[in-house]
Amino acid sequence: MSDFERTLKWELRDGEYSEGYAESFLNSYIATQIKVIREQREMTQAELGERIGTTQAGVSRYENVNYSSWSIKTLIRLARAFHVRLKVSFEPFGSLPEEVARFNRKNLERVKREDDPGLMEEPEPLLEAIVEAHPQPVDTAKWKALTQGGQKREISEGNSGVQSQIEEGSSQQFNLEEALCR
Amino acid sequence: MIVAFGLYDFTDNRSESVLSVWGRDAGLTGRDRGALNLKIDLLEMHGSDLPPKMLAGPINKQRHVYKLIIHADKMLRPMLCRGPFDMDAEFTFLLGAIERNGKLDRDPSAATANREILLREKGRRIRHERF
Repeated sequence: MSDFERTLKWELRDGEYSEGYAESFLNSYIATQIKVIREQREMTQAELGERIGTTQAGVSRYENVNYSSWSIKTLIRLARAFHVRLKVSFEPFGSLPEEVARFNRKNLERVKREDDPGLMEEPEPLLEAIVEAHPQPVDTAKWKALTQGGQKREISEGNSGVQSQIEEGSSQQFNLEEALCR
Repeated sequence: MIVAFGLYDFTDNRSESVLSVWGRDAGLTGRDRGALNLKIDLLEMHGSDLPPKMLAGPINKQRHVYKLIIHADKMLRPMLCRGPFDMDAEFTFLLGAIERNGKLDRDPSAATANREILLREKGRRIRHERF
């Protein structure tokens, strides 16, 4: 934890202070994130305004750290225009110092639905991908059995003559690929 | 937190931060201090580049004077300038002010005067003192 975070944690024990700090951060956060995501999408204020049913001046008003008259309705319109979801959440004050410390452009950017890795199809299982890339004879059933279960086992593969230890979820998967490809 | 910008306070004749003195005299509430420190923390981390419209100004024809806008129990408007020695890496607070009925309680020309003093006397500032 940085000196800044330690200092802020101490300051936030004061009720009024914590409210003033957190509410000011909330407004600054929303305004900045709107600007950051709009720029990430390479949209002008006028283009964003058109999508949410307001003017360029209206968007300019939202992209202002001093604006505080947010409505959920407006924020939902913005979320739709950005192809992201809106999350509104009550939080304890103790998590604020870290949030402020992590406040930067990169952490404010959000991928749109179409590029969201969380919505991508599951990648092909490693073994199938390897077999497809290296179509030499491999006993896939045996390898599948060896790579499942999370147990460390001593194996010997006749195909390549390589001995290895396999542990699910570890870098041993890489070694397995190496072994199969030899 | 990555500190990207140096923050300084102009000092008065007693070598005290004018902003700290203002903060004491203005009777800032906890909410005022919290809202003010958040803006100052963001300024220290990102300057005026990332958070949009962090700095308002230049104000009232004072070419180098900007203000932070803080909506809390009071409408705080501390005035500051870029640099003035390294324009890309530092800010100096020149004067504290409060807005009442749309008007600042301090004349921004006083902030310009403080900046000019600082340009003549480089020692007339200290590291920003946190509220």
